[in-house]
Amino acid sequence: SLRYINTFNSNNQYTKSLNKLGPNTGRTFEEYFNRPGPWDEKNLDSLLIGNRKWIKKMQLDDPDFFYELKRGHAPKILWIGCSDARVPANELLGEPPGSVFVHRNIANLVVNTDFNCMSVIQYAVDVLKVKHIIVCGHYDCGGVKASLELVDHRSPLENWLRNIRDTTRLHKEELAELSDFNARCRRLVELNVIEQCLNVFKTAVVQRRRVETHNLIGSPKHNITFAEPRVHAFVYEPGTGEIN
Amino acid sequence: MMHTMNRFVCNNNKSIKRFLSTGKHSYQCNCMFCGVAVKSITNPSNRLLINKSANIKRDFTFSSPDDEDAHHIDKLLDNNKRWVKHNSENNPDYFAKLGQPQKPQYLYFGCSDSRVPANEILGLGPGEVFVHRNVGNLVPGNDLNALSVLEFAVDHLGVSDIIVTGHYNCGAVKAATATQDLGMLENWLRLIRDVYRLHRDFLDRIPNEQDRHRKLVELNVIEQCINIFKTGVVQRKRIQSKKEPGSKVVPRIHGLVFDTSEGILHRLDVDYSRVGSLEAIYGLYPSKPFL
Repeated sequence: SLRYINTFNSNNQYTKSLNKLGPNTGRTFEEYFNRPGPWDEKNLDSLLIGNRKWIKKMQLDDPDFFYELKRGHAPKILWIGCSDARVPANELLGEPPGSVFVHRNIANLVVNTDFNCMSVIQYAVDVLKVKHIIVCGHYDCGGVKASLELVDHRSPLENWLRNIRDTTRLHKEELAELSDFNARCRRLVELNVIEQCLNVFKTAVVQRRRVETHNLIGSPKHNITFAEPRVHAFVYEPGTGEIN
Repeated sequence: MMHTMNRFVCNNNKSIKRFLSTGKHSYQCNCMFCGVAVKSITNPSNRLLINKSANIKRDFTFSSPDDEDAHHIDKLLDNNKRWVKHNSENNPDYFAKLGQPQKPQYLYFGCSDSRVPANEILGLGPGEVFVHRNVGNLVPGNDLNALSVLEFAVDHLGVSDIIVTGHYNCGAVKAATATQDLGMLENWLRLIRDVYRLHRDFLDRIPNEQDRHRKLVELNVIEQCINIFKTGVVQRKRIQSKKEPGSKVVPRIHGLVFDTSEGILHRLDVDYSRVGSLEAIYGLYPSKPFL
């Protein structure tokens, strides 16, 4: 029997009845974990069909959309966020594709010895010349919670999460005052974001560009009003969708 | 994930605590100092089962309150004192010379193997060779550790020769040819497996396993020498040195292999014409000569 897949953007005769209370109302965790979708097939053909539908939808909204994308991208924002599936960068900001240069990893960490993140920052700041760097964490982060557990998460993951444990050490007293594990998680998410913003400041690339642009403020040839890139600390609440 | 809070007794501090359900069958004590992850509970409402598993003793692996452990390296400290005495007697300003800033001529990349001590096999004393040793004498393009050593030696110390030394019966090379999973080490040994892939046709044809291993050790050394050629630091320095009239091109790169059974270092002959053909891919300064 065909059960229509209730996709995120769909609103048709099949999903209108389902959408009355919300897609996951009444489901248990097991049902949600085993929910049907285009991923049930081995070769993801339905996913590619979904992609074609998305293309048609975008072209209905704006016929020149893909033509603009073909010419190249000039994003003004670098987003360093968590790989969490609930936190898609440009959607949360309400920006169309082509506006945000995104780097996502577990627990939105900016590690100075990580070539991956450092290359992204170098490319964004030096080549793309972004105006803002946003480091966005989110509550109910699996990585942050895993780092508060005294469990060995095994080889590369444990080394990656050690960076959050180092942040915990820096703010040990403040976190020890919180008795509730959930409250501690929430506070550590916020402290982690602030610490990663500091790590962004520590990179030579960002410092050099900030000095350069600071000297160019007010210059008639350049459109610069503040020292670029400006670094922002955001935190996302998955329950409400708000970014603060 | 579903979170349920259940009240159980924490065995570590004997108070009624709220355990957080972190997954299907695992619970975690809520207080900061326990942080005990309790696993494999079949019936969560059974208090006795929870207490049994929660009684995991936290042995502090960080600090050893037992001071007896310190004496295990006393022998090394005695050796050190003897070494100091021996050198000061033979040569009065041996240590005064060591206190000066270093100016080594050589950079050595070797294997961490304890049977291949860098200074000794090269017959060089302190202050003469800048050493980096790791598992399998690898110089990967994305390893911050090895690249920092290379950059410091080439740019700041100005070494003239870079020596990459492998050795027969290398445990890393043997592990990389075995069909086994060593966990995290596999990420590092994969670099040797990639060397095997590059020379697969040649290596697969060697019937004897021992010969194949020796050949892979040599090919690994040669590949690491090529990896050093690929880096921007070395390319830039070679171009810079060639500009000055009358001077040789530095740094030079040498591949050696150490035979542990005889103690002899053998020179490896690198086919420089083949290396030169890589310039089209790895040459970062294309108008200048690669070698």
